[in-house]
Amino acid sequence: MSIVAVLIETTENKVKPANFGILTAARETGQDEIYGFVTGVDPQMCKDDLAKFGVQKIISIEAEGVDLTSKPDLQAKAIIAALRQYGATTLLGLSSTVGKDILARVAAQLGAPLVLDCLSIDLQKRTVRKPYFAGKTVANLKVSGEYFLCGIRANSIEPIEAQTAAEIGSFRAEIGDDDSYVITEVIKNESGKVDLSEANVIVAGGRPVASAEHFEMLEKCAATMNGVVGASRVAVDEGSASHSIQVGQTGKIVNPKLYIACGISGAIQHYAGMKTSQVIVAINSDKDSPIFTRCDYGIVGDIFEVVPALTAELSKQSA
Amino acid sequence: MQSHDAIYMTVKAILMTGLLLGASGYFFYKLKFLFALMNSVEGKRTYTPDRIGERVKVLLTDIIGQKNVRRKLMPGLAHTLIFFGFLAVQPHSLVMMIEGIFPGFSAAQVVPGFFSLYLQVADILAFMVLLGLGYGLYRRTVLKPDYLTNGLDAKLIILFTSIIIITFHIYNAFHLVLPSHGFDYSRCFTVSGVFASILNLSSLSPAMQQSGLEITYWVHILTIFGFMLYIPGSKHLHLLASIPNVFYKSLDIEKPIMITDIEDEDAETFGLAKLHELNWKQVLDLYACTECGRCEERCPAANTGKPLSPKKLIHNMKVELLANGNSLVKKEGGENLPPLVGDETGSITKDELWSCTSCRGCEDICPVNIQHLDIIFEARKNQVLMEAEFPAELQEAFSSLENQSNPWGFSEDTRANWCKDLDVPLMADNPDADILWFVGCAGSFEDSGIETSKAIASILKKAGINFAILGTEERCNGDMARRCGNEYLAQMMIAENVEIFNRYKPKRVLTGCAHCYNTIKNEYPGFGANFDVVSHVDFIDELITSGKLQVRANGLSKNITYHDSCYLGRWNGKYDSPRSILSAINPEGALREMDKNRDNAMCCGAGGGRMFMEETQGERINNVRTREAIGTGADIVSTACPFCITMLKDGMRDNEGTQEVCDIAQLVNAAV
Amino acid sequence: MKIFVCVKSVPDTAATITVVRNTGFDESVKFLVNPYDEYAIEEAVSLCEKVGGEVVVVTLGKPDAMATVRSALALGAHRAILVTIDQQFFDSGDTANVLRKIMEDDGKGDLIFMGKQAVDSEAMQTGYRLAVGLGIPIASEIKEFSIDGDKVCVEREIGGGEKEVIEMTQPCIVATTKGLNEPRYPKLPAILKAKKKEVKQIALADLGLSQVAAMELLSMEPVPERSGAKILGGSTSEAVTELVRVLRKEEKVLV
Repeated sequence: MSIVAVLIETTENKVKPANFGILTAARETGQDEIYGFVTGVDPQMCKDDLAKFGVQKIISIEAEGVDLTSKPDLQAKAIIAALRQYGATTLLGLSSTVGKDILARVAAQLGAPLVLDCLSIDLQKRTVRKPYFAGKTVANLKVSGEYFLCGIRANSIEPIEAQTAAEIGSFRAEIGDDDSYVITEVIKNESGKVDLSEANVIVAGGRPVASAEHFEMLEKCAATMNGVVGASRVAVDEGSASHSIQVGQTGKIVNPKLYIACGISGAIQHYAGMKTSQVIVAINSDKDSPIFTRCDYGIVGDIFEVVPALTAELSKQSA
Repeated sequence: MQSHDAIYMTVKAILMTGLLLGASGYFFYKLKFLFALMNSVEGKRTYTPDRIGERVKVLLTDIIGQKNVRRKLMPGLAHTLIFFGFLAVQPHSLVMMIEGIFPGFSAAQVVPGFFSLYLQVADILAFMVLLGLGYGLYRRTVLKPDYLTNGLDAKLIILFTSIIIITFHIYNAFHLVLPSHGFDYSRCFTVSGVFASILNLSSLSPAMQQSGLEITYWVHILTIFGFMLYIPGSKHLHLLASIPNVFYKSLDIEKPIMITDIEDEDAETFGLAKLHELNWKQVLDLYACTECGRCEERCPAANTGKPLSPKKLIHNMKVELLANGNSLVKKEGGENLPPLVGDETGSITKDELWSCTSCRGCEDICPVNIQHLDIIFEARKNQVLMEAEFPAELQEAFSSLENQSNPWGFSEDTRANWCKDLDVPLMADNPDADILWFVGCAGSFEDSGIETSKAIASILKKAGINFAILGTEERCNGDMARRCGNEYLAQMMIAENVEIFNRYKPKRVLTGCAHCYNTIKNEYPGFGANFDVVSHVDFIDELITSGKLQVRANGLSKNITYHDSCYLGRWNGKYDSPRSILSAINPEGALREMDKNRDNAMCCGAGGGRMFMEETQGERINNVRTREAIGTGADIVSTACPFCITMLKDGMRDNEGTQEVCDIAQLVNAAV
Repeated sequence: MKIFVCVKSVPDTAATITVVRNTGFDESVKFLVNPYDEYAIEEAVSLCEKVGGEVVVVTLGKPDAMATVRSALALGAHRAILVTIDQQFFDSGDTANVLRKIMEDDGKGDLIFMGKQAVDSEAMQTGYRLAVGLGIPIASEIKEFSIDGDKVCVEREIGGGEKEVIEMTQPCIVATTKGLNEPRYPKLPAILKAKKKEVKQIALADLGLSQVAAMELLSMEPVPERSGAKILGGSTSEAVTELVRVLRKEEKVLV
């Protein structure tokens, strides 16, 4: 029986729900022992959540006199020491910004192969599936070598519970300090808003969204998905939106995972700005609107009915 | 003669000679400087005037006949009167000068019969000048149109001219009452006679009459000399510059953009950055401007609140040119010259430069054939190629053109997807097709463009035409890049298409878009692809008239208005075929023309690359034009260019209009 | 200051990718500078314009990648090194090894810029391996960059509206992402000059390095294009419930 280590990401002392899918993947063979590595958080706070999803041992990775949370290179070094200590050769994690960074440092220091942004993995065959070409293709890769390191895309694996009795332990790595890379500060962005061109979720309004109150309706919807609001040129012209959120050929070119077009006709000048969105949803009262030939999912209806209903449904499920 | 008279005559002769030599000397000195300035600029323009016979004819119709000037009726008539009247008066003034220098000489004695006839005609024509000037004053004091420069220059010219004419009449009036040594002045002076009566000259003593004559003489002569000194520095320079400018005008309507040699390794700069890079013809353009403002009156940007005015552009540049004249004539090069384009220092601001839709309204209406667009396109080239300064929205369009050969960035291998279910033959399979149909980017990717393409395909099939398209071998024709000044990108794209054309050697090229038509027909020959190009409106017209396409005469019975696309109309002179098509398919309905139609049509606002730029100042050009279309009361707004369709459809939506906007091809297809 | 910029030649993201023979793709599409590398080039060139020095582009690619290298030179880099390989996908560990050797042979740089990932194979790790190979630190997904004395200060966004402020010692590697700067549009003189700038071409074999090739591409499947809209019917609440379900469970675009 071998050990599969999983890097657990936490926020404000709570385990991020996205980890549960990773843990589910880790339990693939049903015969491995699952170790959850945490850093910079009290493992007791994570116990209940991690035990629910099959972690046998929660290991707090530490190093004497070194703040590992501000020094990811040293954190990686400590993780490697832990892997060696436990004889674990499989390490999984989230392919988030922080996760990718740590996993890459571990892989580089180990000289071991790593695949990031995996959609699914096969621990036994040591194969993974991940996107190539910005989502236009999916590649099947086989990894060879002593170690199997994977960063898995959030929500790509359905989380399945498996209650265990999780033990808590700690691993103290013997590593020296090093100031070549230090996180000196973590700043919270006041508005919490991301720039449109990098947003993952965009809810955009067109002609019918003719006032600031209307845009608030879209903002509420976007907020349930941690998304941002965009606008077509028509809405900007009407004065209800600023040019900085205009999506289109003469505005911003966006590439979100989800684009919800509310009351937007879908003419080519707008479409050119969001055509690379992974999923396009259109809500429009005109069933002949060109947007309905250019989206993945459509709802024919009055946006002032549909969008609030959508917001309610989204808040309901995420609570 | 009395001794007083003898002294006076001698003094007069000396003064006259001196003044004549002085004024002419100064005049010619100024002209020489202007000529040297024109030759000092370094822009290249190899220009050997061809078809001399036609050009001489043009001089007769345009200069003598004042044909272009009268395109605007009232001011044109006024100018014609002023023109002929002023010319008529010149010989008389010359005679006055000679008689001043040679006191014994009198034309009335030497050639009495001819002189008498001349004076009769001149007297009447001179009065016509006053009528014309009266209308000019009326325009400047009562009508006061925005586009008319109403400054000191204009007023001085009216003043000088009026004084010259009025003193002409008064001088002649005095001749009527003074002893005439046998010459019968009373037959000659219909108008001047009236002056004589009104001023009651016969009541003056002979001495006062003689003095009056001399005073009038001097006022007249001095005003003429003053005018001579004034002309080179004023807009009246057009008297001299307009003649060569009209002589050198292009005899064809169609005109390609100047080709910049981007392969030139020695070139330190591309496009127009500074004054010394103008070519001599552009300098002549600047000299010829009369600030009449007809270009500004036509300009869609100027009429919708943009800072651009073609008149101000030309005038500012002329002022800049003359201000830097000494430096230019000394060929000091560009270091001391200010950049032409710039928001602080230039004679053109960036907003002005990029507001232009290249509709060609300015060039079309200019009575002295100034080529405003040559300057705008060359300045844009410099901004893009040398400064990488252009509206930010264009960067995405440029990259998309370069990488996927269409401005929207759709994958180039989806170019033929619009017809994948339609069985449209490809040139690759059918290289001997009679017609190579160049579909164009809009026709391939844009919603309304695709509708038009489908209609054209259907028409071609119904008429049994052997045609084929290039499919994914087709690239953007390069028009948009060229009009935005990205000459490098444009030439790259043109070269690709030229290679494909030369490989297929099509018998005839059909285009569905006015911009494709203009570029492939008029600019591709400069790059080595010279083929017979026909626009879809001309072609459909041919099909209908030849009977190859049978249309139901009552296929449509609606009121239709037709929007003339700039690139078919003013750029290529094509106004008739769409109208003939409409009358063939819609004899029951009416063609409701907009006020601004044919060569006076208002641009839709998309040209000059503006389709891909934001319009933030003033009113939207397309909205103004759409309102005009709605105002005709027509049910359908038809046009022949996909960009016009998009702009008018947007305009309909913004103005909540209910009219249908479509291409002529779609109407024809429905009537087959 | 000597700055290396690692640039990859990749297919235009606007191009259609057609899978060929199970593991290949139709390479006749337009190739260009990896979009994330554009920010790297711009930052390096701007920095050099301020403090002087040279920007050296290093690329591993097929011989056709030369066009991309020239584009990178047109954006202001001074010279380039192109290591020719015969496939588009190259193991990131092996890539990092080649980059390390090139930089050691050419003379190590004060800074190394590169894009955070290539838009084709999207490994997102080459820079980290190069960092270990050279024994220097790396920061990735950088949106702010400045030099303060002998330290490099960078910022990166980590999601949830939070960003990290980081200090690194020099020399170091900076992997760039969108938002760091606005890549310039090349001026024509720069494009023409780029045709003459030095590009040293080296065949991979001549470097005398062995390849590990720890990852094998077994197959590639195209993801079907938007195949037509699915209009969700029923009442508003039914349609909305179905939409959220689909977005969560099938499309998996909602967290």
